[in-house]
Amino acid sequence: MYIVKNTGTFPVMIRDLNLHIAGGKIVDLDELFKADTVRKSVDLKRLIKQEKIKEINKETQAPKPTPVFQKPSSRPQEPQVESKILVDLQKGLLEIKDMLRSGVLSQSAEEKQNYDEETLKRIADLQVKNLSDNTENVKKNFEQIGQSTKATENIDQLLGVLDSLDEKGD
Amino acid sequence: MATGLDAGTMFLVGSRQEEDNVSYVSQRNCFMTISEGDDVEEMLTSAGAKIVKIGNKLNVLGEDAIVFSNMLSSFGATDASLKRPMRDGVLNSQEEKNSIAVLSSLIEGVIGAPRSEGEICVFSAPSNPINSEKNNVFHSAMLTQILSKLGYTPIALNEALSIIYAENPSMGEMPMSGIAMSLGAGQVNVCMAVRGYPVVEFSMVGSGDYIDQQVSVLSGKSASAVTKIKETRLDFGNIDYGDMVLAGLDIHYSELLKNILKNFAKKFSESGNTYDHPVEIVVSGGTAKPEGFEQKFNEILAEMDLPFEVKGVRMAGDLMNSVSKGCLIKAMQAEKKKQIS
Repeated sequence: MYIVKNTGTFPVMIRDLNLHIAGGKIVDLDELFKADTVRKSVDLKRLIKQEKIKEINKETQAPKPTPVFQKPSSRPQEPQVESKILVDLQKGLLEIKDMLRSGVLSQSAEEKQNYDEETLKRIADLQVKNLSDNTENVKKNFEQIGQSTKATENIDQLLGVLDSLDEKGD
Repeated sequence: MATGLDAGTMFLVGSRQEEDNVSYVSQRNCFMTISEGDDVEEMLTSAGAKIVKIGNKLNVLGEDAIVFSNMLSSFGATDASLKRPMRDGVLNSQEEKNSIAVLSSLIEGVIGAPRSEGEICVFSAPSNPINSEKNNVFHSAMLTQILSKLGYTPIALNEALSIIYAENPSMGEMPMSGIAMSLGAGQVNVCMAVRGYPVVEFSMVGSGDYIDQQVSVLSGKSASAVTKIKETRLDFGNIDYGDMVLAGLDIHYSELLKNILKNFAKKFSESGNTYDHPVEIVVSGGTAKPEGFEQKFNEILAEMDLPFEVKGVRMAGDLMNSVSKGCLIKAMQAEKKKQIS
């Protein structure tokens, strides 16, 4: 695993890997590319040096530390902040892995035709969630768009007809 | 408060009731993508373009996209093509990655934020087409999710049924009863309703955009040039058959109308329903806009052998807004029921 985090709020691009990382997002590069490709990426090294990207748990070749026996404490310990972050991180990674494994986000609408209704709704939910998770990636320069017109319509009359049909139907 | 939304392939139309009037906001459902570069964003913004920036790509939306696409193409730019978030009535799979973000921004721009918590928004949804493998469930689910994220309570309404609510056709003394046809850019949606309840409904791909593409192949002109001729020069009462584009449009419109009526007759017969009264047909949608369309429809209708009597053909009061108006009526009814309960 070679996990990196975009420490800024703006997206960065690792150009020679052709990969965008949204602000604040964590990515396991080994999940997406061959380990060799990642290790050879010049742009990745540059971004790490510039501290735009931070390595989180790059696998090292260093020998494993010798385990030291510690007597368990007699009273339960409060969970450490660091371990909480790690749990969150793991959860996030599992979610990303799930998405990548199922590949649903990269499928075309035609490919999705084969799914049942519930699955399609779940995918739609996931895609919109993915969109809203990346709102920092989407910026717009307007509140309203379009041509506005006003018309006098018989809306209340039509609503009355519809209501009366509903009452008769009831 | 309540709002209606016609989520069409070519146009998005939002509607709200404001005192005695209905306010409609319409916008072309298209965009153009430009790579971010020095001063590009500033130049576009100062020109008044509506932009959504996704990553390092600038997406110019709506009418502005058409203007900039034409302008950049005339300067020889190769990557200035116009894109559509939707195609054939549903989300465009070829542009899907950007479609969701762009469509979401366009919808928010057209209907704005909810004016009350969980305000009901009824949006138009096509039926599943009979001549394509396309399934519209994903499209409707996507719109439901987009509207929910904006804070609305979304309700899907069959596109053609919305025209029944907006135009109130009748069969004998029965209101909200008849056949509605919505001829959009992507699909044709058809619904027969009795007392406001749908009894036959289906859609067909191969509407306005398809006709333009076919005539483009036939005439050697670009599809956008054919669209322009269709919108400005086509008059079914006065066709110059020496003009390949006009002749091609006339032939393809005839085929489309014959196919709609033939398929409706088949579906109607399969339903096993019979009615004592002649049926009124209401037609709406941008593809029904050319001059003389009503006359053309009546001519084709006269050639067909249908299993029911037709009372008459009526064009919707406003071809571009009637779907949104029908959605608004349904939304107001749903909002009223919500208040009571």
